[in-house]
Amino acid sequence: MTRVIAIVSGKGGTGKTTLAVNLSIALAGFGKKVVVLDADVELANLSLALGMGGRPITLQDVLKGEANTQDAVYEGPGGIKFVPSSLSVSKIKNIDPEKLSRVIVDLSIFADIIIIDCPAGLSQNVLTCLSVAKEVIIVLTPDPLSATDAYKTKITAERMGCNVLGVVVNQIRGVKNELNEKEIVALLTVPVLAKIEYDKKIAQSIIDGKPLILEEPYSEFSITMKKMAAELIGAAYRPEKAKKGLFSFLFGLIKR
Amino acid sequence: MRIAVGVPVERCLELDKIDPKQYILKLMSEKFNGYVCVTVMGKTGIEEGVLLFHNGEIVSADYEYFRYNKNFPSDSGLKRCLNALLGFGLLDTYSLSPYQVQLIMTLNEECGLSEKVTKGNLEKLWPKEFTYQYEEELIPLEEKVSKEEVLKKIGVPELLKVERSPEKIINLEEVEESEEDVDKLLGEKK
Repeated sequence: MTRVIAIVSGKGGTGKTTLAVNLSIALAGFGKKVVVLDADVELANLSLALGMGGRPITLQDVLKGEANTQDAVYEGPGGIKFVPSSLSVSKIKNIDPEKLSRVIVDLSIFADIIIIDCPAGLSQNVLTCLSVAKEVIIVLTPDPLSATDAYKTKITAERMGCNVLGVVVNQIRGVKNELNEKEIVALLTVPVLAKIEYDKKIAQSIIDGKPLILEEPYSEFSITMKKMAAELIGAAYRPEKAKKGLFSFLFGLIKR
Repeated sequence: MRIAVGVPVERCLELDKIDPKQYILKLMSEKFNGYVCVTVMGKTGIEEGVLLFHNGEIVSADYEYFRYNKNFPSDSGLKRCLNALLGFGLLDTYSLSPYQVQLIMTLNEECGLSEKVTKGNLEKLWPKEFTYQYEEELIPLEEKVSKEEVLKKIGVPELLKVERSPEKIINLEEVEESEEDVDKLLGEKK
């Protein structure tokens, strides 16, 4: 049975695409066949985050009936497959739920897990994504604006019949008025699946189109992604500690 | 606990297929130097414990709950490790030289046990059965703050009405264009 997980946020710029890309690669690392779908038909950027922009056939072509789903599936980095959206301004404003369902069914044939990178907000396109996803992960930054939007998104997802797996708290900066984990859990009443501190390297990796989990597999961020992936699929994962500094180097010398 | 890799002795032993107490006693009899690493799936996530052996005695322990990013070194880690050995998970064993063990003990001073565990006192410390109690002690952290308090803090106490409004299953056909439609469906006044 293929799992369909929508990555949503409410507020924009929280890191949905970052999570979709890196979590997909982490899941693939556990041997899962993963397809990540860019459902942001108006402001697509997944293919750029993967460093694979400019694909000729996109989700829009499939939704318009001008291509088959499998024609829009591309091999991505780290063993994942992906379905991009068009980078040009799309003629499609709203996704037809039935057509998206068809795409999901087509992808299910060869995928264990489908990750849907949803648009921000609660527009009809997001609702359409929620209507085809059984599970949802909400990404938020620990500020009041993002938390408010995440709260509304969570209620909406549950009322659409989705199982909200939990939240990913991204871009933690430790500044005044940030919500802490306790407050986020109290507000959203779902588990915190991962906490990610603000790191400009993460943002840079998206700009460079080089997923950080591949560039720096032992970074805190990458280990967090792998832990989260392991927990999502019930796999055992033993993180490798990142080596730090001269002392660790010297300590490493005594390893057999 | 910061540890050296060591030489694998056993990998991915399934805990429910061995007698963990006998396994530990065997390591003690062999004057084992190295560590065992126990990984179990708790109710809320993966947990991992490490027991460090020096000449057959357990000298250091550490236990980590990945979900909560919380670890328990020393005696509190020991009781959790012994409990985990009775759980459902995997056990790995790595051997080290006595010199490496001593170095690890020095590097992880906070993990040192108040009393070494030997063949003589293992029986006394060994739990009767597996318990989720230790993990459950960590779970209530989210119950100390109320949703109302958080909504008030972020300046939108009225949002609670949204959740408490009569639950209505959202039907896509009722939604035309925008987020405002969703707000209406959620019962929020615009």
